[in-house]
Amino acid sequence: MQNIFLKKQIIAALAGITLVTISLFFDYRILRDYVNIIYILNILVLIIVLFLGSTIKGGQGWIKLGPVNFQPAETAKLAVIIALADVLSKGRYNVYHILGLTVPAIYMAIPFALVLLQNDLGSALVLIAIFVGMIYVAGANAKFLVGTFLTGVGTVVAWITVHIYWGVPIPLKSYQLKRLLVLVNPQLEPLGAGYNVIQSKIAIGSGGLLGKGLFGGTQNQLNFLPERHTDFIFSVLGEEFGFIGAILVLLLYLLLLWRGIKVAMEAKDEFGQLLVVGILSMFTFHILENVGMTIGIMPVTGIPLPFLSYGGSSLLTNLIAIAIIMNVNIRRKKMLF
Amino acid sequence: MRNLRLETKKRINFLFIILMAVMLFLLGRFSWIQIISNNLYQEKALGQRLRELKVEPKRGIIYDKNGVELAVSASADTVVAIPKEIKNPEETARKLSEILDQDQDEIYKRITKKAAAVYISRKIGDEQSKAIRELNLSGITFTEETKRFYPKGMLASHLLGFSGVDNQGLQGIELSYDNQLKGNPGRISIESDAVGRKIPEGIKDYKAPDDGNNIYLTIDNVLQYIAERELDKALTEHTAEAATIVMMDPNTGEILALANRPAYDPNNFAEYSPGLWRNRAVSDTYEPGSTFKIITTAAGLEEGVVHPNDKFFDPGYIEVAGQIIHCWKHGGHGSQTFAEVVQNSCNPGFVQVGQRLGKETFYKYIKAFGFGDKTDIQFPGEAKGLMYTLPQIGPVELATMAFGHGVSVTPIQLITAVSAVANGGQLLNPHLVKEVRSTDGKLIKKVEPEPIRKVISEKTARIERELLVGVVENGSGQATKLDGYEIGGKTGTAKYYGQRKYNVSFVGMLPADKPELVALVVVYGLTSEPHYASQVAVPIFHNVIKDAVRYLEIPPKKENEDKEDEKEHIKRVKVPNVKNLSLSVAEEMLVDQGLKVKLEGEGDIIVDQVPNPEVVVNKGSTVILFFDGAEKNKNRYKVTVPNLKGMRVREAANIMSDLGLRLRWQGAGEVVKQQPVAGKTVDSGDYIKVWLE
Repeated sequence: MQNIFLKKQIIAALAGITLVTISLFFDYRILRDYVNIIYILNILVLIIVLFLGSTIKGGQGWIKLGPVNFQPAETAKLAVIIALADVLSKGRYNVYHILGLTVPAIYMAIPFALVLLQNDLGSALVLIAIFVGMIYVAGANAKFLVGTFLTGVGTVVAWITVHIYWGVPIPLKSYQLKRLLVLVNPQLEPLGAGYNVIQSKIAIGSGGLLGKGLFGGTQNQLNFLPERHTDFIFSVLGEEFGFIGAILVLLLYLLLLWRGIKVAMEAKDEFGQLLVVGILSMFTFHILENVGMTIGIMPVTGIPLPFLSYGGSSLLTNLIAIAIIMNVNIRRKKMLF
Repeated sequence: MRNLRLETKKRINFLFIILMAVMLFLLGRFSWIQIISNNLYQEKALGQRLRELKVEPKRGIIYDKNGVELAVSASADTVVAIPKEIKNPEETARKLSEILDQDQDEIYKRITKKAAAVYISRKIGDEQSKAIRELNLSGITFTEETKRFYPKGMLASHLLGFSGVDNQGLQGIELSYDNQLKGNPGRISIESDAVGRKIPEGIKDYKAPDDGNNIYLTIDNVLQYIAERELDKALTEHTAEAATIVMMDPNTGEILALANRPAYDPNNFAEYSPGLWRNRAVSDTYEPGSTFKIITTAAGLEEGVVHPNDKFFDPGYIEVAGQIIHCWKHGGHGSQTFAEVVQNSCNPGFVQVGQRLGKETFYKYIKAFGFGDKTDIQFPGEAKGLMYTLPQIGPVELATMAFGHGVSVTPIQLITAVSAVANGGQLLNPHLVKEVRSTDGKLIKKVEPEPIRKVISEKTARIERELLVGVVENGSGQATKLDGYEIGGKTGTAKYYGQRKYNVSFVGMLPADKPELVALVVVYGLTSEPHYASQVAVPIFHNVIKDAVRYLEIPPKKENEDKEDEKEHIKRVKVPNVKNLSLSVAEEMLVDQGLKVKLEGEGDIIVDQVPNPEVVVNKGSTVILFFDGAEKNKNRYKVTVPNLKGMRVREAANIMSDLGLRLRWQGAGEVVKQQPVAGKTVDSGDYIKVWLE
């Protein structure tokens, strides 16, 4: 069982690295030539998956291509990043004003709706994070963004409150609602929605400063911890390598993101800059959400931890994202020629 | 455009700040969970993985004073189901219900419960266990638990009580000494995974249980058996509701036997009405009647208000505060000494003694002898008895109490009080437990005789014992006379008000000059005739002590006094071999040993003898000598082999020697097999072989 996972992951990694290497020979700006095809193709696949997709753990976001299970929500994130980078860098809309945000918002909203229809709330939220990060760098009104964010959170909280106390209908599945509620109190359903979080916290907490050693994590090895190879991979890390290990991994992510920020700063053009910002937003949100969920500060949504969670589509997407950042970095000095 | 670039850079920088903030936030949270709350989560993790299983301790054994097992714990299988591992619940439930004789639906409900493990049936029999094991059902396993077993069945059931399915004492000694007997459970901590499967080699911790301590009672199982046998016999001969016999060592306060009928079998206690579980000897009271006169006498003698030779006159009644109190004998006893008053159990005589004492003094003695209070025998549900309070006692109450009416006592109170008279005036704490020992034999607690108070003087006690001997020699206790023993005692007969129903009793002690045994017989609710204690309780007492003195080897003292120079008479001697000797030589040898000679046939040379050489007999026994041609007469002197099963060596050897047989034994413990078997006739002096276990 584990060997199959390992094999699949290695194959995806090799494929990804090959793809990265090849892609470096092309200037990232050719993406602009294909942006419409990339975007529309992705939308189509997202629609197809709604009808033909296989269901895994409540989300039906999978397409079977022979031996490969492909998750279009992952690539959709990249498609949205490319499309938004393209549309925002053209300077056709004044994103400082709300009206100027309409078209970019639609680019994001279509895949957002389709992903939400797959019950993949996590990926949908990633799209919003990407959108917010990119329009901010593209010059959107910061006050408006903060205002919207606070209003959004406030609305959700208020809505849930009135839903619980007065039964006002809410467009959330009951399990999604519970995942939000157990964030406040995991003991609400210790064997249901709260189980994962409780177990994850026990695993990480019992790891202590130095951890229990590789494969020495009792909680994950004895199956108390669910989804330990995918969504809760960080709990395994925290249990087996302890605080030191967890922080080291977070520092590695920080290093990656910091390098990304540098690339964005020095990018040759706005398109490249926005591509990198979109990708960084995506990574940041993935990390915050995934790691946050394992320590009970974010609701449980099944989004993977970049480069660590098991999953070929995710790894491929992330490697392509890295390839784009590298591409932007390599070509920042081309203007000197 | 430049400005815009700058603004963008600022914004990207700000994005990095947010990023750093997110990271710091996560760092803080990880510190909290992994460093500050580490212990908490480690405990939680351990708590999830470890399943603690209780390991039941073995309940202590209850022995009699000689180490004979009266209550033991044997292991029995308990059927446990692990619902997750059961493949076919319907079929499993059906099969189990057939073997266990339980409701199928009930079993089905249990084995489909959401639980790691559930009990199906606890402490089942070996055959059921074997049958279930043979089915080899998945998800059905066994654990070993201990089950209480009372090897002697009904014997001493009221004393022992019983314990429940969780090894908790519910009645009797099992209850009052539960803390000693139950032990402390051990535990196994087993590491298991999320679905409760045991992990190989996952035992983290094993703490062995502390088995319960063993208890050695003061009860002697042989005396107990004698008492119960006589109770059974008595209740077939008489029609009565119940009966009690208690035997006590007056010098230590040890209860040697305590038996009630009707009784129950503690192995199946639930099949008997709870009323039968009651230990009447301790928990129930009765009107003692004339046996209580022992207390009146003790008080009168001690206070000097009466002497054995004081003259009394009984016209058949006495008038007290305008009320006529009759003597039990119509026409009265006439002129008599106080000794005769005791012998005759004359009520008016005792009323006068009571009046001479006065209510305060009499009451003081009653309390001093322990009436109206628990004896602290440490037995659950002990009764106090009913007594008037001092202000309630008027002249009539004083008069009736003097002959044992208007008071109620427990048998244990009465025998404890009478034991004080027997041992020279010391009231002792009655007790049932001699020792508590750990499983490896270490002494945990030893119960020593516990004097409570000196009630009367040695002299008073001695005089009173002489008076009580008079009761057996010349009075109502004559039916218990036993050759060679001086017995003192007192009968008691109390009539139920308005019914032809009586409580009759006899309490006695022997040997009277220095008592070693006090026994009390009470028959409750007697409705058959005769209804006098002298004809009902005294014969029972007689039968009990007849066997008890032999078993306790209390020497018959009277004979010693009569024939002081023949003191060695009771000595045992080995019969010499006189075969092939001449009659004169043989006779000399035998007489020299203190043996008598009887001849069979005529002649000069002895050809055979009974008992055979080497047999140990009492001095003064007769040895039969056979002359040539008379051997066939030897058949007349054959001995029937008795049943020795269940006896201990000493007991068996005593009986063997009485019969002129010899004992060979193998092993230790109780006789389980004998050769030849009981009922066979053998020659005197033959060997009987027994196997002990």
